[in-house]
Amino acid sequence: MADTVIEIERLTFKYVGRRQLTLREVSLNIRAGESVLVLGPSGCGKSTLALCLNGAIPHAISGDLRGAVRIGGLDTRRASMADLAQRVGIVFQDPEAQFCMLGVEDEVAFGLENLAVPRAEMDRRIDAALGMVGLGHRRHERIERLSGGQKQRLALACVLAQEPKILVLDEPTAQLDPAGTAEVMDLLGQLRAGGEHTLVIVEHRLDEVMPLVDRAIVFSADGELVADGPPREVIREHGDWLAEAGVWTPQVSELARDLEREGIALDPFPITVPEAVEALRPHARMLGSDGTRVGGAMNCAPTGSDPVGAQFIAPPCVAPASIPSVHIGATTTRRERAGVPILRVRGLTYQYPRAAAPVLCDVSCSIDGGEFVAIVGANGAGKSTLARLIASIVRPPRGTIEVAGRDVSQVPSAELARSVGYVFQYPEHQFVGRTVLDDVAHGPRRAGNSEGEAVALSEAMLDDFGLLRLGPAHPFTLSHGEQRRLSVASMLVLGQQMLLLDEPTFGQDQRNATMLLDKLEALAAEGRAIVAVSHDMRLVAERAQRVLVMVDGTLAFDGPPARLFADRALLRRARLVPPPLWDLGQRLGLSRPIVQPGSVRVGSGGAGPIGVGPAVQGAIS
Amino acid sequence: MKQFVWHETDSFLHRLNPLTKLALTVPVAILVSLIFEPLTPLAIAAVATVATWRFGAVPLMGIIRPLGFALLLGFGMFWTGVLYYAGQGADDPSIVPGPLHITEASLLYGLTMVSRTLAIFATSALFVLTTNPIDFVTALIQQARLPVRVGYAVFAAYRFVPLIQEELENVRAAHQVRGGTGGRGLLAQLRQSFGYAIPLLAISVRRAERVALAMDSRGFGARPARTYFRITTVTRSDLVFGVGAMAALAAIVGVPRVLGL
Repeated sequence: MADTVIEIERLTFKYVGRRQLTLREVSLNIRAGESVLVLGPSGCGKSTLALCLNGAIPHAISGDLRGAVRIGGLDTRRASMADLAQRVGIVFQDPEAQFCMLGVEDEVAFGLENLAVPRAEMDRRIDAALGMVGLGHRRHERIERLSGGQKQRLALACVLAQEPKILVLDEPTAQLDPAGTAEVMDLLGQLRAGGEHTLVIVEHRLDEVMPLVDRAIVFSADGELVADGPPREVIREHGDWLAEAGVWTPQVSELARDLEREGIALDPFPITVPEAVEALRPHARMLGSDGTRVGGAMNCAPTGSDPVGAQFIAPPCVAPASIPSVHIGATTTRRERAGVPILRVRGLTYQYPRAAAPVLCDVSCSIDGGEFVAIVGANGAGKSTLARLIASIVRPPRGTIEVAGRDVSQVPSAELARSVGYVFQYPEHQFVGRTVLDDVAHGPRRAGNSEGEAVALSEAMLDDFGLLRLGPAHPFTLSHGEQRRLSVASMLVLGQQMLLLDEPTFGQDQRNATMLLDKLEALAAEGRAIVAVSHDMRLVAERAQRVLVMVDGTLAFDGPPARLFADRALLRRARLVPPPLWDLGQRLGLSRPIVQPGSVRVGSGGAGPIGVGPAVQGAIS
Repeated sequence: MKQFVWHETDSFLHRLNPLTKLALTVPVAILVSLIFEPLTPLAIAAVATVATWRFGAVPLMGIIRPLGFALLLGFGMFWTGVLYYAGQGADDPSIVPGPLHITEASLLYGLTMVSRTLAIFATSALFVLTTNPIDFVTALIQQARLPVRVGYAVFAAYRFVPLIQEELENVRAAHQVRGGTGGRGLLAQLRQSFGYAIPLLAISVRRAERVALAMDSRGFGARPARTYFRITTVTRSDLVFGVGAMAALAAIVGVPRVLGL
């Protein structure tokens, strides 16, 4: 076709030092003005494809490249990175690792200097680019003072100043809070509406990105292009495969596929919330005004104590359409077991040494054993500080935090580690062992267990987390999902009664996230307190029994997620965005959009777990 | 020491070429090391401080605070100087009653040490507080022919250092939550540091690679020539500053001596 801007011909790539091919015989043409979403399980070569498009492969990263990538007819192997930068701009995922200057305008200028743009022209270009991303007024700001969302917008401005026609975005919102994500998505929407750019987007927040794309391509785990077409068809036809491969799909599509399985075919098959509203409206009556509609994994009886190992191969359970409402197992039991206070926070005010103002202001709350609690809020609202104080990573003031009845500030950290586990956002931070087994055994050894006991305990733990066969491997060599599970396992091996987790679903594909959350629910059902600090509103809606909302250092809300999501003023104040299915329920005017956990389950499809807990719940119940 | 960084504003000193300001520290350092009495360096420190305040629009407290650090450092040097002075006049009778043997010569020596430290600190403060680090590296590239790659590596490092500090905090916290790596004593501490080093290294290398990739992706170093958004030049102001500074130094050193004070 005449207006093809990206031509990929039998592209095959292998990184130096890896045995496996990352991309395998990929052929693909992208036309000017198209907006293409790239999907695939983690490690399937999505980012590698992005790097091939702007010539970073093979210019900056070496490896074995075969086939060809042509950008506007220009072979990336022959063109210089500067020429390519004028054609293809790329925005990466880490807002902290794409800048090399201190000030906003200097950063934008950096790219222009590289292209030897005459100085007289720079001013205009910097202004235009910052204006496009809505940062015109921050031109003289220092980068470190920008929020995450603003940093990503700046990264986009830097690229736009170089005036490329193709923009590649590699998970641009992965590290942002909900408000930051919305900022970036809005901006992408504007660029798309402008019609001047071709967009290639790698993203796992599917509900948000779907309105922005008109084509989806799917890679398999071994780097082959397995599907290519309009997003609706791709998601509909390959839904089972995608679910099985652990690829995130729009939540509304998961719902639609569940309904389809029950004999309710939605037409057209929805991939965005507004579409789902339209498609479900005729069925709204049947959905029940009391909001007790059921789906997928709903009536799979949870058996709280199932080990996490073998769940995800199980076929989805199909709920008979006639069941009006189900209150099952885990929830009630958990409620009954609750009542053992593990954590009590009283009047906690905390100010970092040398800080101008306190990060936390008079926070009080208590958490019982058996609870699954989420702490949410915008970046900088104090949620991580709260979690760190509880784990005594940052020493709390005397008399403010009690864990199991003991003042945390008076307990030595090695001892506290036996009752409180803290799982870091990046698992690599916390690995101390040279092998997986060693890493888990570290805790028991330090706690004075004999070597035999330590190994036995650790092996049992690894077995429980499906990691036993990886015992001799180095923790750094594990996959994202395995690392995350290991980081949780080693924080539980001493029988810790409370587990704090910082962004547990970060960087996890759907299958791993589901598996992990099921495990956490099972742990809560055993009577432990699970506290997750997260931006993931889906996690909050589907898993948390209680949610604590932090706004500017104060605890602004403490209650069930359903009440949070119904309170628009609070959501705005806390800079939170409700998850897609909640949004859907509200737009459909269902009277009780989310009831207590367990009443409605909309399964996550083929990979939906049976056993431990609800898969996706509270959809339109 | 957190305060000892660029004070972001606009002033006569801010508009100078960073290298001119840096160059001033050289004659000052030579001068104070040749002069053996406390008053001249003290006068230099005072003039530099007033200049930074008046011509650099830095609040007086912003200059005095880092100088306070110098004074603290100087205090140590003062006592070392006073107590261990072994030059001419070291055996004179003590000028204070009590067990301390302090002579006039040793007191003078201690005071000289302090005022030298202050002079060098005050001159450096004039440079550091009024210089945007970006401008400094730009001037090194444009006037001192520092290779572009090296210059931008410095920029990147500037952004990078606080990030790595944050990562180190994370790793340390994670180890603490895991109950530490055991034991007190030097060996245990060494082992502990080693435990931090590996994850920190892995994380830093990955971050650095990402920054490099982002820079390459924007065409860094792909063209033989580059243009500059910020231009640092040597202007008449630099000349004025240079001549003024030299005149001031000459006056401080010369006038009392000519007058035979």
